[in-house]
Amino acid sequence: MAIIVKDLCYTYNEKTPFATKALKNVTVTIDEGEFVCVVGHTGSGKSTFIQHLNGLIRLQSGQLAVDGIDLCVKKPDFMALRGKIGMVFQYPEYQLFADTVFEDVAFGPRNMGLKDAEVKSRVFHAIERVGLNYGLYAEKSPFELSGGEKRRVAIAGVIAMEPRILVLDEPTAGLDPLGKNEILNLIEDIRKTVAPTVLMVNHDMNEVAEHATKVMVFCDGEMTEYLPPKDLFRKADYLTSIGLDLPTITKFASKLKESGVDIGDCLTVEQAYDRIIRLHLKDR
Amino acid sequence: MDKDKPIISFDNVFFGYSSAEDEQFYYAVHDATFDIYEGEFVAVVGKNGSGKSTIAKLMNAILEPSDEGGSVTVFGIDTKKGNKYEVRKRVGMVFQNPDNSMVASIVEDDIAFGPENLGLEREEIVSRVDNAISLLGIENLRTRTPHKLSGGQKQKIAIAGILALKPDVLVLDESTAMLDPQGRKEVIQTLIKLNKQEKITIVLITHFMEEVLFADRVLVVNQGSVKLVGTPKDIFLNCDKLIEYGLTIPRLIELESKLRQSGLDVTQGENNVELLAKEVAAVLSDRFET
Repeated sequence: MAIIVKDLCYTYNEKTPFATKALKNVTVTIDEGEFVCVVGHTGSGKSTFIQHLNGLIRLQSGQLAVDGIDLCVKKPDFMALRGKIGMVFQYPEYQLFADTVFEDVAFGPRNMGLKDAEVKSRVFHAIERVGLNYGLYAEKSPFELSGGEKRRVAIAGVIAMEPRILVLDEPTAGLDPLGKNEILNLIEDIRKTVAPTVLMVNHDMNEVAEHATKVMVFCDGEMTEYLPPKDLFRKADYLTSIGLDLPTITKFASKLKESGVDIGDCLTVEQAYDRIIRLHLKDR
Repeated sequence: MDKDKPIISFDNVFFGYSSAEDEQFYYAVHDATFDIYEGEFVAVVGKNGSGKSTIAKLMNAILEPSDEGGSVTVFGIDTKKGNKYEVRKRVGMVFQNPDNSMVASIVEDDIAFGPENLGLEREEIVSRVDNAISLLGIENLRTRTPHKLSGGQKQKIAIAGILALKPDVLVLDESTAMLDPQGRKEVIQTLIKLNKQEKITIVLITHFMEEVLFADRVLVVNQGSVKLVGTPKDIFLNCDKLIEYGLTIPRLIELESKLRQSGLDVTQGENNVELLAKEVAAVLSDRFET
């Protein structure tokens, strides 16, 4: 089990007149290998939850263990924790700081205390993994790259630490459609090779439908659902009531059902197409 | 839209620059020719680097065509030879990141920044700010601090600040790219209202293909020139072309297109969930009866 959370609560400005409850009794077990999409409105608690996972926010109450590291003890092993869980924040390209791409990507592994040869090999593999040519990019300044390339370098800096769990906060925000697809494909690739467990905050329900194995829904500080996408999107009324959209293809399948044709739960264009064609050919 | 009255005209426009990196000369806009008519809602789409933002900047004389590079005419003014300030008064521009266009610490002061700089009388400034605030329905934000608001709210304030200049045309350069779905929806609704009620011409530069569906006309830009022009429906009849130009197809239109290719009789380019469901149901029930 990658992440175990029990009764996690968090209050900002605790014991002051400005106290606001950001998390209320969140309980969930995330298995290794899941691609979890985290959805919910601004202020629903999803960022507060994510920041607990690598110890950026200290536990107030409840229990939390990440890949075997217990965060309830008095002095949790934060060094080990941050080696296991990689965080890619929103617009990570704004975090680039070094003179060269190599130095930027090497920052994490060096701080883990790795030997030079190991650092070099990790940087090489991380840069190539995100689809950039090491020979062409290693000595460039990160600031002369395009937006999409910068974002890749930032992700390379995280995966060079070889985390088991990768957490990304809206990794496709602000990219054009092709850039979005490239980043999502990259995340799928990282999941197969480096970090088997992925948590991704995402607002685009179509992308959620196409990539998630589980969807985590936050609303008013509570985690209200943790389900596979096809089960979650059956709860259309609930999702609409908390202001979340449905994937286009799910909406289409439910309208089709109203018109008397049941193609089951569909999440992707391919699924819907295959099932319609199968029905179409059946009685020919 | 009034087809007789082009208010912005691009005639064989070229815009080139020398790259700092390899000292080569590149064209960001390469032989672009098109008109924008009074009162229409136009979407301009293209992938990153297609030249769409350069086209936007040429529309209000932030940039002007290269030497011998054609002309841009805005309300009869040649942007190279004429009065650029007049052009900018009539064509307002909203950029991608609202944080970069906030100048004051109170919303109403921020909206007043433009008219103040035009040197208007105080009463006129107050009336323009009031008017812009009521058009956008942001009375509740009037005395708030911009940086504490959501992205969608901030972008509405940026739009209000431009409206206070009373432009005839609003050009939005990827102004929804950094917003969440809710914020994006709010901004698009605002634009539709300004277009329909206030008759402001809207030019929306975007890479969200779903936003194209709200437009009267779509210009598809690739490699600096306009490759396709038409209604959203016309544009989505050319799915192959759109993919070639590095754009994506809304999922429902992709499904429509695949079903048509397999011989099902469904309307292409509608992007309407209910219509497609009805059509598919009709095709399948015919099948069962025969």
